[in-house]
Amino acid sequence: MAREDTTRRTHSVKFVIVAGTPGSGKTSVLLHTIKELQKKNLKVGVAKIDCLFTDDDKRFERAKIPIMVGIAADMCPDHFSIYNIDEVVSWAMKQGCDVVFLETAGLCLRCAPYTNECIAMCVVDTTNGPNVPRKIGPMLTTADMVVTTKGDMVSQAEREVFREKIMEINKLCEVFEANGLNSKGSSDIAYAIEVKRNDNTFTDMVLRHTPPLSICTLCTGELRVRQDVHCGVLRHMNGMEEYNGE
Amino acid sequence: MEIKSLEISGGIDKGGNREHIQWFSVPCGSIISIVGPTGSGKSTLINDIEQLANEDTTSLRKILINGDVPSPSVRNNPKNRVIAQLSQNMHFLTDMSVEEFLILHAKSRNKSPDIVEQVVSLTNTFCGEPIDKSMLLTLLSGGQTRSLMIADIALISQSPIVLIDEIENAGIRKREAINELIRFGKIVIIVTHDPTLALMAQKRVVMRNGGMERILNTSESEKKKLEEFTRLDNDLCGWREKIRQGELIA
Repeated sequence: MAREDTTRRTHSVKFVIVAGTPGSGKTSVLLHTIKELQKKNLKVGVAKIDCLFTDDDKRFERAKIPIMVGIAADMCPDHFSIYNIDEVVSWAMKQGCDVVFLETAGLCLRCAPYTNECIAMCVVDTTNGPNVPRKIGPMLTTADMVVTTKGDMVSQAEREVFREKIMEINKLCEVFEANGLNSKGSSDIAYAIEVKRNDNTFTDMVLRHTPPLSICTLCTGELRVRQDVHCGVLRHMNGMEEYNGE
Repeated sequence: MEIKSLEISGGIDKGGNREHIQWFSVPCGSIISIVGPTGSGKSTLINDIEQLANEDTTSLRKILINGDVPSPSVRNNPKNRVIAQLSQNMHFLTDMSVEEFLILHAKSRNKSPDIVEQVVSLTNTFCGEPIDKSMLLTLLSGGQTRSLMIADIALISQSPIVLIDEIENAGIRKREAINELIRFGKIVIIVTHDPTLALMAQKRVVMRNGGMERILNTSESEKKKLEEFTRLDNDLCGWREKIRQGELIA
């Protein structure tokens, strides 16, 4: 009964998952983008996942944006946000949101928290330099929208080379130059979100990319370093993989 | 895309008041300078133009091309970009050789990679110690960096609208550099504190407290003054070069 209700009501909720390295400017870009969406009379909510601490919720509250916070603590923050996607979506529906952003902490470059039914947005700091996009991994390669920030710190030519490097590894994405300080790019990002088709049902979402392969003793709290104490799927420096256990 | 004009629809100053100039149209073939004390909003104005602001920046200005809001592809795709910008940056953060970088930039602007040699030799006409294409970008000096950025704009970006932020403060041969930039630009906008550059423009925008306060036309008597300033400036540049070369001033 509850499930049917969910399916019906979610048709109007756009679900945007935002990932990016810490300090890349996700929160600032979101605040400006949300302001633009609100100008279009859309109700927007934010779910913010952080690892240890956040006071970003206050920034959203000041802007009168409904906000839900989750602290992953000692759990992998990407796994934490994936487990909680259902909760975020139903919270957003209860709030009557047209758009909900899930801002992940996104620390592990091996992960991509995006599902098949979402707009996947990756925020990247231009000052990291054009060698970095290649190192970011699935969080960038499986994104629909890539937002580059802090472009005012570099020359126009470097911004364009940075973009070129992103397009080399994700040909289908849309790239936006944004600036968290002066709201550059936010109207283009808001427009792109507004016009994206929305046929979400949220009934059977799957991840776009497999989560990291690592089922070992460290995952369950082993502190000792010595190699022979570890069990599970292990990989050596030379790439050789072994399964040690029953 | 053929550029006929660039329009600035005014926004607000730092105090939140409407700026005095609410409409400024720049026709093709113009050189415009932007003047004002430091902190008066010159760079903000030029950044608004570069990003084709659409009431979405703090100034709430709107930039139009040929009277219309430019399409998203003109705004976001460098291959369709109509604006080249020389910012005040004096360093590259990119960890690459000059050659690698120029090849990638040429690709992003739909230009042939063969252009690298030309960019390097043009760079060396602006700066003191020459650069080589195998050098790392991050190891170039401020002046070499700026010279390379200018040569890159002149030969790779080659956009019809050129924005130049304080070309004079890099210690490079500014006159040669500016001549290269205005050669292909259809509309050139120069932020400057230098009288010889400010008066080279047909009009100058005076900035105050973040807003466009006035627009002055360069008068006939100012043009006369410009000749005098240019002579003085050439003399000074000559002396400067002598001092740089370790010569005695007698």
